[in-house]
Amino acid sequence: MVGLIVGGLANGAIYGLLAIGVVLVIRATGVVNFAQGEFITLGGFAYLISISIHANPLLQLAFVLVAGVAAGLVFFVTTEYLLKGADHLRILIATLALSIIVINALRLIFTDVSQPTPPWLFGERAVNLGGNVVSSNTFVILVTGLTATAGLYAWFQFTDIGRAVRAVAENRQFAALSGINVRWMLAISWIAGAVFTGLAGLLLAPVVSVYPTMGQTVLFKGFVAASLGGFDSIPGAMLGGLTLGVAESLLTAQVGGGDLKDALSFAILLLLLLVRPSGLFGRRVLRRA
Amino acid sequence: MRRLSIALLAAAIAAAVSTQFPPYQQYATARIGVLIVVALGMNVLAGNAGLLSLASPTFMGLGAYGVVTSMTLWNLPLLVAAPAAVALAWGIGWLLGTISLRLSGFYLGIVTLGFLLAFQVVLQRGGKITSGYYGATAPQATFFNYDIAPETWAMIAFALAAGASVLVWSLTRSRIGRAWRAMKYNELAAEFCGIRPLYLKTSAFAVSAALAAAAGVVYAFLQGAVSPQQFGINNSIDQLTYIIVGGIGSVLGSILGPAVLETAPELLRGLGEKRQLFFAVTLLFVLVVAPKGLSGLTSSSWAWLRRRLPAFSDPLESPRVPRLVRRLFRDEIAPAAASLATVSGPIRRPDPRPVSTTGTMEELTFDHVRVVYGGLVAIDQLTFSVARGSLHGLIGPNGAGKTTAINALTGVARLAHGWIRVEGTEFQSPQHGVARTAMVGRGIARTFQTPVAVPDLSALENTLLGLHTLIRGGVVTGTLDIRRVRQDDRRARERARETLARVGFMGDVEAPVAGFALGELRKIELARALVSRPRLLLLDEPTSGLESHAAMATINGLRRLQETAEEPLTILLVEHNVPLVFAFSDRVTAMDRGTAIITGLPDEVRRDPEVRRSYLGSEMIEVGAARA
Amino acid sequence: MLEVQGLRAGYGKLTIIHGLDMQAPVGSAVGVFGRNGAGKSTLVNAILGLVQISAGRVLWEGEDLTHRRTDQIVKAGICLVPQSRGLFMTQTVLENLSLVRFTLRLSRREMAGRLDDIFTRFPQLASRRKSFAASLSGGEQQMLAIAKALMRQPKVLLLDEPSIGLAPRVVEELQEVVARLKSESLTIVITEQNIPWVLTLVNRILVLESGQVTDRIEVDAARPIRPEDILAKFLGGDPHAVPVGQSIPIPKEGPNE
Repeated sequence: MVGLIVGGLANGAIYGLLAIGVVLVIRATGVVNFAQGEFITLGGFAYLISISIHANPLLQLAFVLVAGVAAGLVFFVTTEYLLKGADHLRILIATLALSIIVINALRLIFTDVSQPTPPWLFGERAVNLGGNVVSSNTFVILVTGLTATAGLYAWFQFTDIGRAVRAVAENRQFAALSGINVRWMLAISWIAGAVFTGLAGLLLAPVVSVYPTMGQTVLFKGFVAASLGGFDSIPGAMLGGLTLGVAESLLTAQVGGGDLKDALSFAILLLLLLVRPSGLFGRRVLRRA
Repeated sequence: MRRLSIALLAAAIAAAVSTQFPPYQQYATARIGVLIVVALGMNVLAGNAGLLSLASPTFMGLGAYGVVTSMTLWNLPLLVAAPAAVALAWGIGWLLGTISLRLSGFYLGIVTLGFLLAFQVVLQRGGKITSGYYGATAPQATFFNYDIAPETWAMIAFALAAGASVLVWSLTRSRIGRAWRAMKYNELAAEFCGIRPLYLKTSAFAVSAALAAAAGVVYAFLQGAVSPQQFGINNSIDQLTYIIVGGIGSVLGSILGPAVLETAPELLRGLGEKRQLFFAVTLLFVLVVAPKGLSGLTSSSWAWLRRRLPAFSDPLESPRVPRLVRRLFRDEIAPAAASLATVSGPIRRPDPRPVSTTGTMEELTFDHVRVVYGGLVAIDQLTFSVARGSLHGLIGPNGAGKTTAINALTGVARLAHGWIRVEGTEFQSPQHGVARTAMVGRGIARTFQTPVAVPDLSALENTLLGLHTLIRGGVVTGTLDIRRVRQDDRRARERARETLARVGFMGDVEAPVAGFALGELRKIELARALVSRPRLLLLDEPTSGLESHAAMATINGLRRLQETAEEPLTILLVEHNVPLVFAFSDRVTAMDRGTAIITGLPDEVRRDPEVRRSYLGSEMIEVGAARA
Repeated sequence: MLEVQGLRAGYGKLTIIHGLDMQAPVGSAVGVFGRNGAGKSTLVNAILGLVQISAGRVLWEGEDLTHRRTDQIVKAGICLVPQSRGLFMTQTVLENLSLVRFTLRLSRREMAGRLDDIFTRFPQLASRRKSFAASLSGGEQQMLAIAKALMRQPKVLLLDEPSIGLAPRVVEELQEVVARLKSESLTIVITEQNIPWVLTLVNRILVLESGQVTDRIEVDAARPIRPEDILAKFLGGDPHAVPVGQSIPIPKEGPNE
């Protein structure tokens, strides 16, 4: 039972990191990024490449972070410059297009073959958590997830630049009037969103192997996790992810089957919308007045 | 039944044309036909109603699996299975529509994505019913004991595409089509025209689902088999690509999109597995560079062509007139002339109309009205009356509560206390309220500070929105354009033209209003309000953004409308241009801090010390005067 | 000098300002009066680049600021306290004030110095420094908004209807704050509907109507202006403005032309 829950938490932490990426982008830019899953995939492939050149763990991490920065910048340029002034629907569809472009580009370069990777940092080792034996990857995932959430939260609360980003998210005009260069803050938000999601890719790769559509398959769960968190809170997004992960874990133990998880997520989303549209952990209301 | 006949004729012609293709091409073009039908459905949903749905492959799947499963498992004949599958899709689409009512744009995208994924799971785990992961072969369909050959299915695909194009074109031009576009542009304003979002959204989803399902039925037999992978997220994105590249919101776009995108890879040999990449890059390219898609390009080319052909040209566009003069005329003189055009006579300050002292001449009465917004009292003890046939001004500084008063009257804000009466009878009260969609039916019309004129629609169509609740035409009857609907439509158009002329609109009534100047948009909005012959007209800052002389002409034009109206037209005018209100109104109500200070003749109100204080800002008069 | 030349500006189709000129010499205080919708807010928003400018120029000390990005205009030394105050409600008083550390890259010492100065000027803010902006009263929020702008030590300060929604006693405080600012050779532009409290502070008055300047008044200590005179322009107290019964000939027009 505890094993189930811990496993669920680990999956959930990954969903949470994905959800955090979604929330980071949507809060600052208002864009719902349907290609957010591809940041996971790019992170995974960056990890794969770093392994193939025999890099040490630190360098592997660097690869993943750089991939995230690059991806975030590309999306920032596309949405803020190429699509300047477009309505949200158009931008949303553009992210769908980018999603397909990334997937297919990766397909052309790496083919569809699933490439397994070892867990980052500690390799295939087992860790003892209070009497329970878990894989080191699970341990790393949990630690990374929690540290990332805490770190990001602290960044927003206590650093100048984090507060400036919050200001832009709250009201772009006021931020500009305060002398903040709004565009740079938007770029930072995109980069942060991509980097955190890329980290999720690093952690997911050992679990499902690296292949071009690895991110697309978890995208929806990231959205549901973000919805549970109310779409406006970082800790909420992580909590939402963890909740979803545990719920999934418990259900599939009963009924079994990988793809049922998608149906479960959908059911959870519907339930949420009917009962508490503002999310379990957040404050923003997503319904139209 | 004319439209239906045209549709059937088009279908027949298309079917005949399809037989001329050699077998391989027949299959390829038939497939395009299927995609066109799906694209039509998506355009109804996204282009007209403005709803983003990623679940269109799901409805296609419902159609495809619906027929295959019911024919294989339960031996239903095609003629029963196909309509049943389409009906099922219609129903589920309608349900999805009810959910969409309360969801904002992107959230709807997420929910429909979930629906798509969940359906795929159902298909994969459907065991006996859906034949699981690898799908099922389509059974041989028969039409009264005759086997339907693959070539026949190709003909059916063509016929369906042609027929559906005609019908969807008819639907988008109908009353419902106009209502969809109005709702997409500004839902609140649309509600004031009596348009009900619930009906429109559910019907948009239902129509779109039915079209996708019909396409799915044909697709199943064309392909010969169905499998879950055919109805996934990639198909969804493909379908979005077709309508965006083709041109969102237009029937032509639904045809061009699939046609061009499916034949292009054929021509560009060697694309093979890069097909999806090609699609996605094209989609992104179109989004950035030409958001109106191919049909947008064709309509701009057509406009360009019209300019070059002397028969169609407009002197303003002729290249022989020096550019400077053209620009001067267009930018400066024409707008001034146009706004003055509401006046066909000298502007003069009107003599005050006789004010009735008996109550029966009151058109509108606010009686101790109180409205509370989230704990704060917005208006309280608001009491004033508007005489029938008068021009009544409502003034007051920011935050005085003028907008709240209008909201209370029009059913946007609930009364906590008091009554609002129209023609002596109770209209709004804490217990009994009239919804905003019922306003036009009750003879109340309004305009907005920023004029609401749907850019995709023409001046005529925008005006017709005002008659939405007074003419007939639903999804089916409107599409088929049955006689009653046609008659209503004809009469409505006559009245709309007349009304546009009365308000002095001088432009092309059939052209989309997208580029029109502010003055013209205001006239169109006024026409929309007047076309239903309302008793009471609410105008929210109609002179905002206009220069002094245009503002005067506008208000004067309103008075003339009242004078020339067949039945008494009462106008309640919310304005910030106080001198203008005092110059032209019969009576004025001044509000401050949520209540009416005074109601009376303009000169009375102007001299009232409390009114002056409300504009100057309270007791500071004394302090300022002392120091000065 | 802050100068506006031939400005046409508005929101999309709605042109609010139709050709406006204004000059505010360095160290002067200009009052811009007008009813709602006359264009006061649009004017100051246009100067800060928040509104589309379709024609005309905005100049500060000869430098053309038209069409520049808002944060660049702010960096040039022009600050606006908008009607909605421009505060970040989810952040505290101190955090709102401290944004300058990031935007101006101030050192710790500089920050401390500026904060000290501000808190001396606005003692009511000093005691509420850890409170969230949302929890402040209207008057405190207005003071915070002004203080936030002053933290940048701007050369030009634009205030858009600062007295709106404030109790008379608070408006008096506001008056004192602005009076002190005047003595610091700051160029000030105040837009207002509530005239009296500003009358004693300004050197120059512009009256706006329908996006154009209808009156320009140089304030002369020897001939004080009465609020009543300005109000007449708002409420059209002058019966000669539109003569009763007099006609203004207009070209005849009909729908068939």
